[in-house]
Amino acid sequence: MRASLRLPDHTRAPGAVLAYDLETIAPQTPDGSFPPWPTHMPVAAGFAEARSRGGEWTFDIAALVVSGDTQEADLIREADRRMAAVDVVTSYNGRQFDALVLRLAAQRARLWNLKAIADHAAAPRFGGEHADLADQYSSFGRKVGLADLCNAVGIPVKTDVSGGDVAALWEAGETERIRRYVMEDAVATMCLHFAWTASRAATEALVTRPMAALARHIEATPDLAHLSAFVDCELMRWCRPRALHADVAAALERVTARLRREEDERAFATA
Amino acid sequence: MPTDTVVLATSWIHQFALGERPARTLLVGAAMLTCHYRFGRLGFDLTAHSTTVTDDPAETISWLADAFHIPPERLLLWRGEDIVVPSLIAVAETARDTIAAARMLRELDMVFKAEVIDVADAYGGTGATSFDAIAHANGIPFVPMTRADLAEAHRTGHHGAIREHLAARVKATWRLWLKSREDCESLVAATEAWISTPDAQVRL
Repeated sequence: MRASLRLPDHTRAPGAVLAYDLETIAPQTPDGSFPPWPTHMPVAAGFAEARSRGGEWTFDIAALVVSGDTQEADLIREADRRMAAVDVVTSYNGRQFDALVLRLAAQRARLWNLKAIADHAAAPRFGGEHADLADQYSSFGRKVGLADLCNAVGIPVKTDVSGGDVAALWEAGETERIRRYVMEDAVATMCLHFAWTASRAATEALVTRPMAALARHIEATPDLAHLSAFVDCELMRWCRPRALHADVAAALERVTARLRREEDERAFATA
Repeated sequence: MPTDTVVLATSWIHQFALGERPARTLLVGAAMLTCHYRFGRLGFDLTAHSTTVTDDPAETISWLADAFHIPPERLLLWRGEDIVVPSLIAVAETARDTIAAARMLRELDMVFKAEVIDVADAYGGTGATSFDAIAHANGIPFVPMTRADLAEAHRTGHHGAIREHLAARVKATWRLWLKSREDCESLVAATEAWISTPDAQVRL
């Protein structure tokens, strides 16, 4: 049993956030450099959705890989459906890669009615709809890798394979490892988003409470056992005890508000 | 600056809505074991409080607020994240006595700023088996109190059953914490010596 908890009024957090990541394959370039983004075809997408309602955080973590009955068009439609259902989409370098690849893949598949992907790919640089953490952490300057930031903050990432291994895994038909990898990247992006949001709003509870709830969600979901590194990570060990204090502080705020209301009602009744 | 370590255990009952009265969570008991150093000597202090059907439900809430008026240096809980803290919040948010509830939360707000340790983390965290199974596996005597037994004790005014159960729980939690740590031989010896004295029994 968990009591209903509401965020303190002075904190600012979007109601629903979607962190996503794409894995792609592309033909090799003659000089071995990273292929131009229009040549990339998405083969997997990871989604980590966090919702805050009444102060309680819930999560929906999933990944799709193009294989068997799942086609590229299914992956694109799923991305659009999930983006349409949230207030903020967060990514790592999505503005320069993932969003562009998704939009072009949709056009290649003749999918023209995907408003959420269209809005996402065209989101203004300084708007709040698309929180590209690569831009935010570098203050729109020189970007670094997701792993560099995650390592600094204490978030696990790329624990098994990395983006450079995806082509070989795809060739070998190891879709399950790709699925786990892309899901892990999406969750790492979401954790980094929590850290960014708390830091930007100067409110510790914006990272402690969702992180603690994420740990509980992973622990309670056997299918997410491969994400156990997030439960044991440095940031999580720091957040979980502090989330208890944030829960108590939020409850104190609510009960104090109730006390004031009761005092007002008594004063009105005796006036 | 207090250097006490406090172990806290609580018991609560969910009361369904009746007529115009909304549902609420009643705090029916709480126990605290304090481990402290005074004048270079290690000491223990065991206290408990309970509220049954004929008492004011705010009494244990106020007792807990008073007990935490000076926050300890360290608080030990068992499954704090998904059992103890949510239940205390539910108690406060559904209490008819809003002043007592706000006072308890204000004291808890100070307590949770200090170091809080979930002893269950060393035994599997949320994936841990039941408290009594873990206590038994570690050779610590502990008899669990079922929800039905607790409700019966509350209904019949059996304060002793509630307090003795919670006192046993804080003692077992403390010993489980000691077992999960290294370099605690002197603390373990002091605990075992104290357990065999009448002071280790909760008073009504």
